[in-house]
Amino acid sequence: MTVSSVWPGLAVLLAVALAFGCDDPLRERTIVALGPEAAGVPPGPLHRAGQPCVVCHDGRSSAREFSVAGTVFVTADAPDPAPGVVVELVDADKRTFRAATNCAGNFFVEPADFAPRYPLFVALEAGRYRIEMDTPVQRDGSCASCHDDRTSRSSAGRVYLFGTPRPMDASGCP
Amino acid sequence: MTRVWLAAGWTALAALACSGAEAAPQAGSPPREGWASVSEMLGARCGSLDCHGQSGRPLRLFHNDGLRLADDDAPGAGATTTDEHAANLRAVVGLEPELFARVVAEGGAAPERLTLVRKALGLESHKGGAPFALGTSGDVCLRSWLATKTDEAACATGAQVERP
Ligand code: HEC
Ligand code: HEC
Repeated sequence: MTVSSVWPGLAVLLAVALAFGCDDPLRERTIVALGPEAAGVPPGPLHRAGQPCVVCHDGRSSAREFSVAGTVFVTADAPDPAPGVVVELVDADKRTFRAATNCAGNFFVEPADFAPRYPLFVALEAGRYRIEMDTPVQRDGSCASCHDDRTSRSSAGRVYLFGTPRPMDASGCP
Repeated sequence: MTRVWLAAGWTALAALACSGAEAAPQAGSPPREGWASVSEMLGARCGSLDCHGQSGRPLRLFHNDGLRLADDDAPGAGATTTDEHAANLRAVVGLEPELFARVVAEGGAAPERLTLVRKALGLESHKGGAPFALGTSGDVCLRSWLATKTDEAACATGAQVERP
């Protein structure tokens, strides 16, 4: 085998090792796959609804670090945001933290306020209505890591408040 | 849609790069008896979508509340299927097939020889910590299975993840 015939093989191997080594190229790929900001929505509290926030907001970039963050929709089958929903988080030390969703349905928690010890149990509340996630989150602070906008083998579908549409109080939202 | 396919492609490649091919279980070695309850327990405790319910992991587990095997199944819907239990058995045994066979042949003696048991007990570096403290139901379930006398009750208790 000549050097020139070995080289391309090595190059491919090296590229694969660099790209797929178990270090953290996953983060890079995931971020790229999320695409650019939506037109007309600046980076901030209302942006990237439905996306796995903590992929970027992990303290390793200019984006402020979040321990837990995500988006709540009114129902599973449409991207209508559910504002004013209380997201209840209860960690392994039985500490409870409550965050509220904004007009994009987004909520975010900063580690200084609550850095849960996993497993983390989650529930949503709107007035007297309550819906619980039965199983706990074990590690990932982004709801959307398991709640993609499409239900699939690896996604439980959107985080939703109601099984069937009901009116939401969106006063104060544009 | 392209994005989804791209993502799937990347994941598949990453799986190959990180885990190597899945080894086939040795004929007759893994105790199949009682496996479903062990598989339920492992799925519930270790198989969430943010842990071993992720493709691309050397130990990849399927569970009704985690990663699903069939395209038309979703996390949180229906029960864990027979195919999923079978795939879990392959994943678990495939980690160290020869060693597995030996431990089972020796009546489940010194199960700490297995990486699976060491990681579960936290005796070896494990991102998920030490999920099964010695003597807890998860640990008892796993050991009893390796000794070919699965303690179904321990497995059922071990599978419970209670809301505080
Ligand atoms: C693709 C990466 C990415 C994702 C995903 C992402 N963000 Fe951001 N976010 C950013 C960046 C970059 C900024 C701007 C940081 C700066 O100002 O330098 C930002 C800014 C913010 C800010 C303002 C922070 C501040 O310092 O005032 C908030 C709040 C926020 N994002 C919330 C969210 C929420 C909630 C989600 C999920 C629904 C999310 N982001 C998803 C990258 C991301
Ligand atoms: C590790 C994966 C994972 C993460 C992360 C996750 N979920 Fe879930 N979620 C699931 C699965 C699987 C189900 C379905 C089974 C269940 O209820 O436990 C579910 C169900 C739910 C349900 C109940 C839906 C129903 O039909 O009853 C709610 C509400 C929910 N999740 C909210 C959230 C919120 C809010 C977050 C972020 C703080 C979050 N989830 C993060 C996996 C996850």
